[in-house]
Amino acid sequence: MRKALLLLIGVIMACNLFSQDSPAKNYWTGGTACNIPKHRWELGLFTASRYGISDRLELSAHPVMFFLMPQVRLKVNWGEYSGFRLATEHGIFYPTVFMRLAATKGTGGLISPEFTIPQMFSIYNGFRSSYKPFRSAILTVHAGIAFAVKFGPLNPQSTIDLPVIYPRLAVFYNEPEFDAGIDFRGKFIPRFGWLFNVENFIVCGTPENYFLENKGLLAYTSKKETLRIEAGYKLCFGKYPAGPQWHLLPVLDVIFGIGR
Amino acid sequence: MLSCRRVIFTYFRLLLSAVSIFFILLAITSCEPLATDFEDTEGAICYSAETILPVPDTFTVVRVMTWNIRFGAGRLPWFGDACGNRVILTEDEVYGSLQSIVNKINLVKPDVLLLQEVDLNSKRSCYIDQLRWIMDHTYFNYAVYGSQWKAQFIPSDGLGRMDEGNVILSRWKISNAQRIQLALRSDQDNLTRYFYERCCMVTGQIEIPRMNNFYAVNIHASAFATDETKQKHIGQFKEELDRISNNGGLFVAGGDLNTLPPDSDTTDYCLQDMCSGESFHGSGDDPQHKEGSNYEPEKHWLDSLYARYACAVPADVYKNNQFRYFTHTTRGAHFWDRTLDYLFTNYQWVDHSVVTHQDATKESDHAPVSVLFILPK
Repeated sequence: MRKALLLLIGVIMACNLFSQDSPAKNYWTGGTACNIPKHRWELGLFTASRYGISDRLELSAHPVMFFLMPQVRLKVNWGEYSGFRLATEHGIFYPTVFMRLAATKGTGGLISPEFTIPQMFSIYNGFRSSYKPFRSAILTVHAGIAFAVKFGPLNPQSTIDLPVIYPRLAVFYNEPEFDAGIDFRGKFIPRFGWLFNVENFIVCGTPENYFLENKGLLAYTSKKETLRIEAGYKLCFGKYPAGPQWHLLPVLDVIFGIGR
Repeated sequence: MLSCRRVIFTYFRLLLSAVSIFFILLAITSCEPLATDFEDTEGAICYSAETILPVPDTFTVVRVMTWNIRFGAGRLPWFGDACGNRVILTEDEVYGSLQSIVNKINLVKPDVLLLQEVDLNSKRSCYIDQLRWIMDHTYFNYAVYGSQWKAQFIPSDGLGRMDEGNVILSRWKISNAQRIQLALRSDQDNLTRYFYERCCMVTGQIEIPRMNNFYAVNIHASAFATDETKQKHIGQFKEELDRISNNGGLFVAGGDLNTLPPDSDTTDYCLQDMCSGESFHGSGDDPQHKEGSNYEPEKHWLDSLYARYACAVPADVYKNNQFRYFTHTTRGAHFWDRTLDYLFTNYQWVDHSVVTHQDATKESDHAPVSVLFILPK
């Protein structure tokens, strides 16, 4: 057992020492300030898909949820200054269709059907700045603000008190929501990467105002950079209406890369 | 030669990898289920008051009361039991009902109180810890709680988080408190059953001075089972009472048995409980009877309990004046129309001391029942 453990540590160390690959092509860089190349698609099953409109502009949206809960973001790359790459993000999020479908009787009713969901959307603006401290890693900091526009009253008890979902809909029940965090990713060896990020949400106008998400992933990328499989965890803390809670969730995603 | 920066980075990556692997393993192995399963028997959750009030040792009788408080919903048309469309109550509604409930409790002044449908941390009742609130606004020193419906999130009708259960409150300390699982319904599909309530009994030894064998048992039997589940619950209730009795213990036991006393004049409430758009008893109606409203097949299910133990309302007393002992109705604006709530003992009640508090029409869809238990000398 001890030998096996030592061997495992040795293998991991060797992988780290000899890893020389770099994410120079800006593939699989969602969450950083780097844009994917022009005309490349990265289609995720569970995470947002991305498309390179140009070398400066990148569009992202969720393919499955797009028709229920459209969320579109545009990332604008502003270039690199002293090794720091800068980008801004601008997005719009329209959850009304999903929430109306979720406000149903019987199985699948995430929201009580007694509540009326008005037309509403939120607008997000933020920035990202990435730095490559090493050839095979990218460190990113980001911050942003979202605010909601509603065309009618939204009952404060119609919340979906679940991790991941609650903080992303909280802006509709309160005042502007700030988010900030760090993202650190890289590769062990050319085809095996890792990701570690922390995201904080601060919601104005409510005592249930702080949420934290920490994601850790290990990723496998195919040789031709056309497939990436990610597996890991998401650790969520939040001050929900029921009180502070921790959740640990498994994360799995398959992303297909199309284009150069 | 490796630069210092690369060595630091390598170790940092190793650390992140180790953290990631740790949390991945934790995520795989420790996911908390959405709905909580229970052991057949497990310890109940114990509560005590912020300030323990002294209890005089001059008691010769103990007032016992049972009450299904309907999670503070009062008589609102809740979707699950009253042909209503309400699911999530407001704080004002819940606190208003709880205030009425504690007003009644403080008026009747039971020494041992059996409550059913008490919410601790449920979305439908604004996440109010109703047991703590009741303790803070009454004189009870101790309580024990057993969940009968506990889920992190119920993805149906907007119910969300749920924690509802049965409670024993007492002036005296409660020891050996247990939550006893009752049989699960077998007439539901797997998904519904996974998120559905798991009926239970809560038992505890009430530590009245000079008595070391006095127990309280609180049950909430299934309301809507259309199979033999409710009969099993009543059987398990009697088994527990027999066990206490056979071990030389004395008990006060009761709760919401969700069935009628023997010799009830009316046993089918399908038409009274019918919601708009429903139809029962007609040719071609399927089902013929509303779930939980036809007590005809249950007419003799309580016979053995009545035969062995003393019901607070003896069978002949009930038979001669049934209306006076009705404790429940499903209709919001209607008076009580059936008896579902009971108190039993294997010792002695004070004759004619039972009161069905039918004046409590606003607090819940059940009326409380209280009676005096004679303490052995």
